[in-house]
Amino acid sequence: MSNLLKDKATIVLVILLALTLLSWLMLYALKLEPKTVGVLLLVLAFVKVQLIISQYMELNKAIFPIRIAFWLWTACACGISIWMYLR
Amino acid sequence: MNQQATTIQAQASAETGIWAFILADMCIFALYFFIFAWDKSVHPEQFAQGQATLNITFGGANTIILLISSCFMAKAVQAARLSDVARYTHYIRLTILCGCLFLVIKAVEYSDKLAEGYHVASNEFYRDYFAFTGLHMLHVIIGLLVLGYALQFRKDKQAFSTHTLFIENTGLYWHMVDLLWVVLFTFIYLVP
Repeated sequence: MSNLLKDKATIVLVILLALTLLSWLMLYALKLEPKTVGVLLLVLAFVKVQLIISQYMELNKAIFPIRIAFWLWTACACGISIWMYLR
Repeated sequence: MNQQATTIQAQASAETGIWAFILADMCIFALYFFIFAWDKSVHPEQFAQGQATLNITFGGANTIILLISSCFMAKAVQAARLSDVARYTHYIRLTILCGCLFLVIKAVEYSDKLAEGYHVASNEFYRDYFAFTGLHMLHVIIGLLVLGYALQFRKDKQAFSTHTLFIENTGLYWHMVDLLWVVLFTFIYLVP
């Protein structure tokens, strides 16, 4: 068990599953405006995306322009999705 | 020495190539996210009704399955780097199993929807639902075929270490399939 918790891939998985559970709870437990819940859910989804890119895909090992391009993708995809959702 | 430098340069080019390919694919999917968000804002009632007909348990189960498969894939890559063929084989098989489970759940979900009379031409919601999840499913199938090919490397233990770059690139592709589903699931099943 302690070996399992020392493993980076498993720790990342636990965080990702916890964030997924949080998304579900947010949907049913939070009594907020639907649009606010929608924005929070999308932000949480892109946090998970960034976690997968940085930890599982090991973006830090890629060359600098690629790292910048992936950061920009996450920021733009998240920002534009939310903007279009709210319009 | 020159040959070694050429090999390193070729590996770096191959790595940059796969990152660029993945980024291009992710940009195409980002357009799908924007189209879905746009259509949702134009037809809010239709999308709310369509979303209510979806089985969130299927979507949620597939999300958990793909997240677990990404963890297995990361472990397979770690094992490949250490030339641990037994561990590599174990984790690649588990990743393939997760991918197959994803497809089975997707097939059940699609057949449920089709049996209820919903199809790609029913309305804008179902057009987007079938098109975007279908294209994602195609990526899962391609990923499974590549994983099946990568599994064959276990047979030649001496040449195994020469395939590490291919295995790392396969891992990158599989993680992309996972992260795209995370956003699709949120948009299609969860966002009110």
